[in-house]
Formats: sequence, C-alpha cells, structure tokens
Amino acid sequence: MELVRRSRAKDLVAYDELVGRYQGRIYSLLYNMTSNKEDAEDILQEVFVKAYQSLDKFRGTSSFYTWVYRIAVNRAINFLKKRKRKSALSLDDVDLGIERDPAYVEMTSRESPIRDMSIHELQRKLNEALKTLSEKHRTVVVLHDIQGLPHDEIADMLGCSAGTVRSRLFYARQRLQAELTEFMP
Amino acid sequence: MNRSELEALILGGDEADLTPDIKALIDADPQLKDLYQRTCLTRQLCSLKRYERPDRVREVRMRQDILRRIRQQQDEPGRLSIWEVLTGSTTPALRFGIAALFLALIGIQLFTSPPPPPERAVVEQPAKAVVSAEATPGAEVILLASTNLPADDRLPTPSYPIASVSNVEPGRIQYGPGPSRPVSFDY
Repeated sequence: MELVRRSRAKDLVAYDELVGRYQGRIYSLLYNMTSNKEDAEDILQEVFVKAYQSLDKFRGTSSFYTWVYRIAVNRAINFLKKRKRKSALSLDDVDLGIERDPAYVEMTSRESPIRDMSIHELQRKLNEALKTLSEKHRTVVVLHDIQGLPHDEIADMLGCSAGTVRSRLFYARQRLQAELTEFMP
Repeated sequence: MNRSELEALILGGDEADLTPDIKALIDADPQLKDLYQRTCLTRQLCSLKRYERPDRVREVRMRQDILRRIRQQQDEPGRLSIWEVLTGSTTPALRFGIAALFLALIGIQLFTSPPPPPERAVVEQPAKAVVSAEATPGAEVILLASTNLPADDRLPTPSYPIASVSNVEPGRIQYGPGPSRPVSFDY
C-alpha cells in the first residue's frame, strides 16, 4: 500500500515498482485472452496507464493487483468484442520448463498424438481451439483453467453469478473437446 | 444425483466439487467416466498455456514503454476548453466566480440603462452623383480620378502610357504630351 500511496502522489519510481511486480501476470492474462502478443502488449500499456490515471478512484477495498486485474479483464473483453475479424495468432515462445511439467510428461508418456507432436504444433492447435470460443466463454476458460481462479472470484470479477460461470465453463469445455478431438482418448 | 447434474459438475466444476461419493458415481458409469477423462485432458492442455511467456528483453521493454507513455501524458498539458480559455482559469471555483460576476454585470446593465426610443428615423443617404466628362475626339490625355464607384463600374486599366493632369495656368508645371484641360473635381 505504501507503493500505491506514493504512486498516487505521482511518484513514478514507486509506480514502476508496482508495474514490475504485476506486469507478468497481467500480460499472461491478456495474452491468453487474445492469443496475440502484440495485442496483449498494447492492452497491457493501456491498463497500466489507465490504472495510474485512476489511482485516486482506488479505494483500497481490494488489493492493487485485484483492482488492476479487473481493469485488465474488462479491457480484454471490450477488445475482443470490438475486434471485428479474428486476428492472426501471434504467439510467445514456450518456456522449456514445459518438458518437466507433470501434465505434459503424463500426456507424452502414453500412446497419444501429443507424443509425436512438436511443442509448437501443440501450442498452435491449442490457441486455435481457444480462438473458436466467444469472448465470454473464452474469458471463463482463461480465468479458471489457465489462471486458476475459483468460480466465485470469476463471478465477482465479471459481475455475474457463480452459476453463470459454471454454465459458461460447461459450454466452453464441451466446445474445446470438440475442437481438440484428435487429442482425446 | 442424476446424470445431467453429474455432467454439469464435471464440465462446469473443478476437482474440489468431485467428492469421493460423486467420484464413485462417475467411475460406475462408462460414459461419465469418459467425459471426466476428456475434461481432465482439456484442463491439462489449457494449463500448458502458462508456459507461453515473453522473453526477458521484451518484458523489460514493455515495462519501459508503460512508464514512457505515462511520462508523455504527464508532460503534455491537457487541452483547455473554450470556457477555460475565456475565463483564463482551470479551477472550477474561480470559473464559477467569474461567470457569476459576468452575469451580475449584465444584470446591472439591463436595469440601469434607459429604455430605447420608440422609433428610429431612417436617415437616407443622398445618392452620390457621378460626374463624367465626355472625351473629346482626338484628345491625347486620359483623365483619371479616384472614385467610389463599385469595382465593376471603374474604368479598365489602360494598356497605353498614362499622363496625369493639372489645371493649366501660367507658371504651373504642365505634364503630359499635349496641353491639359481644366477638370472639375467637384463631386
């Protein structure tokens, strides 16, 4: 809160510190929502600039991270709504740590198309499948299955009920299974 | 719990929703078990997206870009509205003060000024007489004078040499190639 207080007093060194702390997680959210690193970068800038300008409105009832995260989710949803045509995939590199991930190790150890597939091909197919979802279905998948937020927190963030979040997740996972059928058992 | 409720739990919920009792029900039904396995695989695939990350150089650049943009916006003064330009102030209290003073002055002016006369006579301007002299055949001098005629009625600018005029009187300087003639400028 000290950094927030100093940032409110237009201390850019303090705000730079806040940006450094949360930029990675916010970028990850935006990137997964858009599947386009340039779009994610643009929205990231907008989010932190907007947050800086609106610091007076931050009442401190939630953490600064939660507050910025909400701004980012709303900006990303608006962006996806406005984006008339689907932009091309523009993907980040995959961290080599994926090869030690238990889920990846398990998937590649059994008889499955994933075993014979390069990481980049898997990444592309996964992102293409996500892009087939509408922005509201995509949002819940990103927040729940990628970012790991619980249902009630997502509901709070999106201003809907936990039941609605479950219902959207139901439809989104069904759709993803249909899109990723080649990987299914 | 019926099948559709269990499906809703599998597809719309997470592992925490699946208590051992529910898990036993799912395991007992091959279709539900298949759905559960497919859902687990979908979640696992999605979780791999966490490994997509920007490289360190880009991360640093993004941070710098954010700060640069904030600095730019701080350096650029906000565009003033016409009202702010007129009142010379961006402080709301001062602006309203100036506006109140302005209205008060208008009010005082309205109440203290005498009422306007009931009718005003329209004063007609006398038509201006245009005096022109007919050119004498064979005259070599062209008379020019300033005029208040509309632009279209003015004499065209001649292409030949212009000689200015003077009243011919003994001892006066005479201009032009021929003798000048008296001219009346009484109009």
